[in-house]
Amino acid sequence: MSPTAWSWRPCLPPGRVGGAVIWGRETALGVLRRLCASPEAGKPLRICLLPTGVVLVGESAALPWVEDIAYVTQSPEAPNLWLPVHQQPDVPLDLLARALSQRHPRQPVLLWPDPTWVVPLDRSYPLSPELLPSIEQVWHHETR
Amino acid sequence: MVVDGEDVRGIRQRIRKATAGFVGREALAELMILAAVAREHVLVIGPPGTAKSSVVRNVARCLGGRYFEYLLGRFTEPSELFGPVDLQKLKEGRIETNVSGMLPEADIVFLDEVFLGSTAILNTLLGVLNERRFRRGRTEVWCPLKVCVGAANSLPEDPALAAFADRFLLHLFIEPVADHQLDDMLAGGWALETLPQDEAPQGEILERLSARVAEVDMSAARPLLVVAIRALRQAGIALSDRRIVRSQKLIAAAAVLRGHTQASSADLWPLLYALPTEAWQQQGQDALRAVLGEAFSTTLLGSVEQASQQPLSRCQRLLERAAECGASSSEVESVLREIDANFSAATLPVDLAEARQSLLARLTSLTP
Repeated sequence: MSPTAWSWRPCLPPGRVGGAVIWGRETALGVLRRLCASPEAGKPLRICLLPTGVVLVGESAALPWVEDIAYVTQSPEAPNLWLPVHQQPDVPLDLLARALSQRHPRQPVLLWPDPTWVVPLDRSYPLSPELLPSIEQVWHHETR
Repeated sequence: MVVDGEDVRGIRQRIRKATAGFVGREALAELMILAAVAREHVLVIGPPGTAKSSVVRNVARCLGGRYFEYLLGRFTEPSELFGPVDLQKLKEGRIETNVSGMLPEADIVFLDEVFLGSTAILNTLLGVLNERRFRRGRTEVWCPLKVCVGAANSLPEDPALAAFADRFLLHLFIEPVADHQLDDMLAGGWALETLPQDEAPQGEILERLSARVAEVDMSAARPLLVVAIRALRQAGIALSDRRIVRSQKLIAAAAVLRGHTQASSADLWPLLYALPTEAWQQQGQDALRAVLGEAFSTTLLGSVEQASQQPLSRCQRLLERAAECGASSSEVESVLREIDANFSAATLPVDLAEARQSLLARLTSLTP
């Protein structure tokens, strides 16, 4: 069977967002430090580390804001698929999620449009001040 | 042609006062206003303890006029609502009802557990709701009723009661406050205790706005309403002819409350609340997604947003939030977060883009 071509299209934002992607290590570290220092640090957020940024997952009210942050949401049709809030693939999302699960056993995944990227979200950690040195260390090693 | 902006702004201020401290109950207050302007009635379905009566009482106080509230039970006598036999007249050999201070004299009525009323009560209520006339024996009086809010835990299954429920054109289904709003509810409930209770009522605003409803030009909205009804029918939702016809009054009232005397695609949203069951309202939201894409109001922000679930309906509320957000960076960030979550750079309306820029500037000045 030949693969089906698909592309991204703008979509209506969901009622609630469930996560955010922050690109750039410096920006991400700055936001994480701010979150850990804020009086509302008790609000639970989980963090997935990317080579050049982070994905934060949690209640929309707990998510931070920074210029160029991109909010993401869990697809209601395919709970293992996370997408940006303003774009979505122009194919049935449940079928796409099933196809992705064949190629990417680590689930759930965030599908990112530009550049197209599949980010596994299964290894997430509760955000805490103790986590920050580890993140800096990982990125430091990767740079070397 | 436009409606007096002062009146529209006045209504918005009253809605905000009436719902201050109540979390997630804006739609109830706003639909009461819409119904009062359209001369229709609201049925609220939801579990006990969801602040239905408190919100209705607050709206009534902010709007002014005489308020009548009663919790109906299986053994409630008609006289408890409509008044006792007039003893003076009885001495003269006539049986009449003394309606002084009772439901027939009220401007705003709230009837909790409305379906528990006896047949005699519900039949008399029908006349009051439909014709604004109270008839009982030889007594017949005109009622100044602006809006009646009925409340119940669920819709009745009995066909006779269902027919009575159908007389309430607007149906609102409310749920206990969601998990993510618990913080706000606690803070709001606490703040309510300290709210000043000295609002000067001004019932004339409603009178003036209501008088404009009949003048609304429906020529642009009517073809769109036809499209919406067809979309609902295709989704298996068949509104009764009576509800379809009467929904035009709601649409006209929505236009008036937006400050206009010509109804447009912005004003079709009340149709969703005219769908009588919760399941139909949920299905209707999908079926009407395209039709309600331009839903918009400057006064009834919460109910429009709940009906259309689309970014444009959130725009006005975000503008209000942006204008009023406090001096803390977390508050500014919270508004920015909601703006960015709802609008991409390509879809951001011009006025909201300007508000966003001011927020950014404020945030920069707040950041050490």
